[in-house]
Amino acid sequence: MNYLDVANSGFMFILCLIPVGVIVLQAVRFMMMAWKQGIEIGMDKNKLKKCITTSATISVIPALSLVSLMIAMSPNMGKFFPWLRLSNIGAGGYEPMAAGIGLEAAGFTEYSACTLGGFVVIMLVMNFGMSLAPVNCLLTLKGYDKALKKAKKTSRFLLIGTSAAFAAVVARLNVPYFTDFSKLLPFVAAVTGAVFMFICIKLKNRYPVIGDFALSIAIVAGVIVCCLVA
Amino acid sequence: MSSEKTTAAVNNEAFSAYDRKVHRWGRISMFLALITMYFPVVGVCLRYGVSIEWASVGAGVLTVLAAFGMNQIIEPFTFAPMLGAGGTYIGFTTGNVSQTKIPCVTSCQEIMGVEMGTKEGDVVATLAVGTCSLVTTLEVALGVAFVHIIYPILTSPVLEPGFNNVLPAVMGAMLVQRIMWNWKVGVVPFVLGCIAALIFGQAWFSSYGIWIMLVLIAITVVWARYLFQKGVIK
Repeated sequence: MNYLDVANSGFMFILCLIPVGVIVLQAVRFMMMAWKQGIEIGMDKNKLKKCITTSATISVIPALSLVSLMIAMSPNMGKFFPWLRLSNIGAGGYEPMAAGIGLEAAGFTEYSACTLGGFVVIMLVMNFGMSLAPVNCLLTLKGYDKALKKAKKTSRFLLIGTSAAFAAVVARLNVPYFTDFSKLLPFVAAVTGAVFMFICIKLKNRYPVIGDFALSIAIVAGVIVCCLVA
Repeated sequence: MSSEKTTAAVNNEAFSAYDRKVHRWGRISMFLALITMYFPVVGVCLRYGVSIEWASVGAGVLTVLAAFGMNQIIEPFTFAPMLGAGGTYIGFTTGNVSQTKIPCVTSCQEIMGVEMGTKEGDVVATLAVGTCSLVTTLEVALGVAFVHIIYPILTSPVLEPGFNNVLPAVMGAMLVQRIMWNWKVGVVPFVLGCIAALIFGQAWFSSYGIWIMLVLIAITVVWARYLFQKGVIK
């Protein structure tokens, strides 16, 4: 039996739907708890609603890159397993690479030669390979969060330190776009995103709606300018 | 008995009822997600009688962990102070944290005018990450359902360069957000990172990416501490 017939079957869809259902329930449950907590600590209901709509707006375009990745993976992995992988503990750049490693580990050089047994090996390599972060969270997050919360009670600097650490993370992720001169388009996209964000932040006091959609505006501008330059 | 009391007292001091609920649900849901993620493998093996070649699986997993293992150990510790516990549980269950979740969280916190790491900041982060996860899951599901319509659009020669460069646009915008949060702090890791990449090259920078990130975090936090003690930032 061709493994792709199994990978694209209704049976596989149901098997993938169950874990996707779990993460949907998790997100909904956490959002309900956060909403209730927000009201309890005196946050404005309309502001909480705005937070949800803003997040939804911002998520649409970056998620498109995951859709194109899913489409790129589907000829070799079927439609449903990439959907699961990109929804559950997935990482854009990781998945195709892990699938390739799994293929080689199963003893194949091309997907066209892969068997159902090989497909099982690929799925397991992708799943196990990405399980370390959630297992790490299960084991350490509670203790780590407790230590952070205690420290925050005694030191105002911890909040500043968190923002400073985050600035370093963002800087590290940006450096390749601004220093790799062999790749023009990522540089153009990063500069455009940065310029439009700067403009939006400057205009947000006069036009608050621009501030609300600043990131979406910057992303769309980056995408359009890349299309024009290319 | 007395040690139990002491532990409970310490927990009460650090965690509110909400925090305890977050950790309980976070652990249960993350465990369920980890288990159910193997349903496709188990289902295929049982229905089609496939036996698993564990030696091949082991070799593949070791290769993947050699390449990505360190990131998976360090990332939850790096992002948890920014996402809060709720956001971290959802974020590391659904993945794609730096590409999709972090931009949502920072933008929402900025728009709402709340600080990262506060009670309000954690509520906003959880709502933002939750919404982002739902939108992403739905969008990829629509991609599965309407692959024949979406494929030509995403791969058209005109639009493809744009869709391939969404992440740099997101990152560039976030860089400005961070620098404008406090330019005396925000500019330092970026300049240092650029200097390191230009001197040692791109290959070196990507090979040691996670370590470079840790060094930049350490330098930036020490620098921010110095400015804080001098009263330059409050």
